[in-house]
Amino acid sequence: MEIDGNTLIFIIIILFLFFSSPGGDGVSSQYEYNQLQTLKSIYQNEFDTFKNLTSTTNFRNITGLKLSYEDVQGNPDLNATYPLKGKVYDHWFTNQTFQLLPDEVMNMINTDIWNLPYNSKNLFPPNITSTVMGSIKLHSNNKYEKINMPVPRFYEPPKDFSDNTPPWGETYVTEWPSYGELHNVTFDSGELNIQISHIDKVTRQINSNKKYKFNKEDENWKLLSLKIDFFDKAENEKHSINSLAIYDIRRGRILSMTQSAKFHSIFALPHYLNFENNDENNNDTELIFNESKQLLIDYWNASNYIDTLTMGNLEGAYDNAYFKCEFMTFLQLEPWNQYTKEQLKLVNEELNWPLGRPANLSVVPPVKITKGLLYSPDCGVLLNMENVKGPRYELKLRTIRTHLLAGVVLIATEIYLLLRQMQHTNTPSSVNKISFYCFSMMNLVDGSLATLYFIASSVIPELYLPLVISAFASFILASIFETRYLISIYASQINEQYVGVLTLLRGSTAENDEERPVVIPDEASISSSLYGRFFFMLIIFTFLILSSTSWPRQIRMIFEYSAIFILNSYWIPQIFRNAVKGIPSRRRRRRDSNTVMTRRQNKTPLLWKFIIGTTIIRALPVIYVFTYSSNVFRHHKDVRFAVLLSLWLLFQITMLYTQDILGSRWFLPRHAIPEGYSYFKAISSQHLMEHGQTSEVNTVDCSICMSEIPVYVEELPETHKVDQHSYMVTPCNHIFHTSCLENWMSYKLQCPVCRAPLPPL
Amino acid sequence: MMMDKDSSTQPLLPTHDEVCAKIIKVVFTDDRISPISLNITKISPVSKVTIIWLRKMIRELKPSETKDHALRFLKSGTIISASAFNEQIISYINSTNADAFFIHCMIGVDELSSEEVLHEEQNDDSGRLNNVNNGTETMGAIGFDRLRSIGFSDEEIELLRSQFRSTYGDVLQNNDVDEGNDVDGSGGESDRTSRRNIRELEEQWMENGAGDNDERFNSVPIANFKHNKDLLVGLCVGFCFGIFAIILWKIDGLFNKRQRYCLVAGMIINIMFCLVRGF
Repeated sequence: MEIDGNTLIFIIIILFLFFSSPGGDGVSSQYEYNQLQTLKSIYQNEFDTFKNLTSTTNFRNITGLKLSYEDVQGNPDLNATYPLKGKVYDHWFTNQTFQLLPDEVMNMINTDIWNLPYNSKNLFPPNITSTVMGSIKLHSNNKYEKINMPVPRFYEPPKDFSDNTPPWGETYVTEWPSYGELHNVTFDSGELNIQISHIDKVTRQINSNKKYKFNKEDENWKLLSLKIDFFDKAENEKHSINSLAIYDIRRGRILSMTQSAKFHSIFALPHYLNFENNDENNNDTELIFNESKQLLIDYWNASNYIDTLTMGNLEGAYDNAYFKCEFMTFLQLEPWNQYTKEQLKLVNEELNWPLGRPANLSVVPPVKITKGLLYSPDCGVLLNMENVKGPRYELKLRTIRTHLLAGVVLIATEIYLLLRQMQHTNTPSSVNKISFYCFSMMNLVDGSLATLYFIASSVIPELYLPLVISAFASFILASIFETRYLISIYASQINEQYVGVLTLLRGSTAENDEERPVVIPDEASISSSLYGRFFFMLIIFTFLILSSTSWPRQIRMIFEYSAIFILNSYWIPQIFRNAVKGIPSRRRRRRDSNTVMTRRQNKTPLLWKFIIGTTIIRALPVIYVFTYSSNVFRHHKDVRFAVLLSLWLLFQITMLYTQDILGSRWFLPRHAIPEGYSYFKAISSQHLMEHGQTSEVNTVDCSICMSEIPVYVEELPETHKVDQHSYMVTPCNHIFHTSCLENWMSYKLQCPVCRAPLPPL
Repeated sequence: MMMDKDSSTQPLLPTHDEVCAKIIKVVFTDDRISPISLNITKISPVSKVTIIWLRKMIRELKPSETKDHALRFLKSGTIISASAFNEQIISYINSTNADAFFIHCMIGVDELSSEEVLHEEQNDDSGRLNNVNNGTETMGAIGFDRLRSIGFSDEEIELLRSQFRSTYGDVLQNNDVDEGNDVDGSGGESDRTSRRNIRELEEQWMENGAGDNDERFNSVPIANFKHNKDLLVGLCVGFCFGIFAIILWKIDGLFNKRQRYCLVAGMIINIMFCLVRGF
C-alpha cells in the first residue's frame, strides 16, 4: 500500500483515538469533571455529617436516608428534602419513625434473625470467603410502603456537547425503565447464591496495585463485599446485587446494603447493626455503633474514598439507581462451636497457606447462614432465605483442582489412544476409510475445552496452574494431533470430494457428466484451510457456550441437552463412512487374508481400543455432571438424560461392532447396493489384440510402471493360472497392475491414459 | 597360504608313530612363522588343556614372535572362547579322529603392554567380543551395508540410513527402541534386534523398491507413532520447564532433533500463556 498524506493523517487519527483514552478517573470532558466534583463534594459533606453521628442521633442530609418509613406511611408522595418539617433529627430509636424499616420487619429481625444472644460461647469463623447457595422465599411484595428515593439530576449524561454544567435538583421516578431489573419480586420461591469475599486491603490511589491494611479491629469486625444473585427456578426474573457489608464476628451478624446514586448506604450501616432497644443493652448498642463506625471511617480514610472515585463509579451508581431496587440484607451465621478459638485460628491459617498444620481440613464445616432476610425500602419487598450454605472458598478450590487434574489424566489417555489410532492407520488407503466428521466433532469439543480452560485460567488466578495445564493438554490434543490427523484424512479423501455418496456406495460411475476437479490441492493448502476452519468454529462455539450461561434456564437447557447429544454422536459419521466404503465381514476378512487380497487393506479403520477408550473418556465427565448431585459445576441432577446418553453411545458402539462382525453394509437392503464395476476380470483375446499384442505373448504393458502384466485371457487355457486380482481393467479398457493403479487412485480418480473418470474402489 | 594348503592336504607329520596320537596343530596367520604341533595324548587330565595353557605353550616355543603381542585363536573362521575350546578339545580327544586338531593363531599387529595383552586375551577367552557390531557384518552385509562394496563411503551410507530411518523407522515392530536418538555404543539385546530389523527392511526396500506391494512403505508421515511421541515429549518438556528447557536443550544426546524443535515450540506456548496472564 502506498502511504500518501491522507493515509498518514488517517493513521495518526486512529492512533490518537487509541491513545487518548481518559486517564485515571475516566473524566473526558468539562461536564464530566463537574459531575465528579459534585459527587465528591456531596460525599464529603455527608461524611462530615457521618463523623458527628452518634448512636442516638438521626441522619441528616444523607442521600437516601432523609425519609423514614413512618414519614411515607399514609403520605407516599412526600418529597425527600432536608430538613423535613417536624422531623426529629436529634434522636434515634429503633422504630419506624426513624428507620427505613417498618416495625414489623424490625421485630422479625430481632426475634427471628439476629436472635442469638451475645456471649463468648458462640464462636464464628473470622474468614468466611465462600459462595453460599440456598433458596429464597417471597414474604411480601405489596404489603409495605415504598420509600421515595429521588435520583440527583447531576448524574444525568450531558444533553449536548456544549453542556458544561450538570443540572441541579432531583428526579422522583415513578415509571421505572422497562429494560432494567424488575422493580419488584414476582416469584414465590427461587434460588439464591451469595458470593462472600473479604475486603482486608485497599488501594490508596487509582490504578495502583499496592494495597494497604486498614482494619484495626480485625479480630472483631470485618468488611465484606457481597454479590447476591437470586432468581426464580426458570431464571426468567433475575436480581443481582453488589454491596458492601459489615461482619460482626462476635455475634455472627452480617449487614449489607446496596449503594447507588439514590442511596448512600455506607453511612447507614452502623445504625442498622442493632435493633435492640433495651436499656441494659444500651452500652452494647453504643459499642456496636462506635466500633462499626470506626471501621467505616478507617476504610474511608485508608482507601481515599473521595479521591479514588472515578467516572466509572459515577455511571455505575447511576445505572444501579435506575435499574435496580435497593436492598438491605440481614444475615445470621451459624457458629462453629466445635472448635476452640485456637483451633479456629489454626484451621484458618492452614486453609490460607497449607503447610500441613495439624488441622483436619476434610471436616471443616460449611459456611452456613442459618437465617437471612432481604428488604428493599424503595420497592417494599421482603424476602426470606432458607438453608443457605457452601464450602469455604479454599476447600472449593481444592476440589476443583482435583477434578481438573483428573481431567488432565483423561486428556492424556485420549492423546495416547489417538497416537495409537494414528499408528494403526498409517497408509493413505486406511486413513481414507475414516470419517472426517467423526474426528471434526471430537476436535471441536477438545478445542473449545482448551479455549474455555484458557479463559478460565485468567479469570481464576488461584487455579492458574491446573487450568493452564488442562488448557495445554487439550490444546495439543486438539490443535496438534487431531488437526494433523484430520488433515491427512482430508487429503486422502480429496479425490472423492466431487463424487456423490451413491456413486461411492455403488462403486461405479453411473453418469459420466460428473465434474471432477483437475487441480488437487496439496497438503499445505489443505492444512491452512483446515486450521482456519478449526479456529473459526472454535471461536464461534466458545462464544456460544459462554453466552449460553446467561440465557434463561429453559433455552439454556435445550441448548445444552441438544449440544451434548449431538456432540456425543461422533460415531454416527464413522458408521456411515464404513457403510460407504463397504468393509467386508470379519469372517471374510480372515478368509481373504490368506489369499492375494491381503494387499488391499481390509482391517477395520478404527482400533477397538480407541473406540472404547474414547467413548468412556468423553462420556465420563458428562455422566459425572448429570448424576452426581454435588458436582463442582453446580449442575442439576438428571439421571434420565445420563442413562439416555449412555444408551445412545452404546448403540453407536454396537453398530460399529456389528459392522465389524457382519460387514459394514449389513443393515442396507441388498438391492440398495447394486453390483458395481469390477476391476478384476478376465479379458478376451480380442481385447488383447486391441492392445497390439500377438496371441503368443499374453501380456500387456502397464503404462504406469512400464513393465509387463500377465493377463488372464478367456480363450487361452494356458493363461488361466494368472490371478485376476493381479491386474485391473478400467471401464475404458486400459490395463494396469493392481498396485500401480491403486496407488494412482489414491490421488486421482481418472484414468492415467485417457482421463476418463474411474469408479472408486 | 601355502602353509594352509600343506596342512589341509598332507597327512600328519611322520614323527608321530602312535596310532591314535592326539595332536593340536597351531597354524599361524603370519606365514613366516612355521606351524607347531603339540602332542596332548599323554596329558591327563584333559582339563589341563585350556586356551591359557595353549597360549603359554606358544609363547614358550615362539618367544620372539609373540612377545608384546596379543594372541587370539580362530577355529572354523570365528574367534574361539575358552569354554568353546574346552568343549571342542574334549570331544576331539574322545573321538577316534586320527587327524590333528587344527587351530589358527592370530598374532596381534599392535605392540601392547603386558596388561593390555592380558586384557585382550581375557576378553577373547570369556567370549566377550568387543566388536559385536561387526558380528552381523562378518556374517555377510545386508541392507545399505552392501553399498560399501560398490564404492559408497561410510558417511554416505550413514546418511542414506538416517534418511531411511526417518521415513520408515516407524514401520518396525519394535517401536520402543529409539533409533532416532543417535546414541551409539549401547548394545542391548533389543537394540541389536532392531538393528537387524532395519537392515532387513533396507534390504527389502533395495530389492523391491518402495511402494511396490508392501503397505508398510506407503505410510502417512503424520501417523508415525515415534514422531508423534517425540512431538509430545518435546512440547511437554518445553512447556513445563519454560526458559529452563534451554538448559536441557543444550545437553547432548538427551533429545533428538525433532524433540528439540518441539521443545522450542513448547517453550513458545509457555511464554504465550505467561503473556496472556500478564494482561
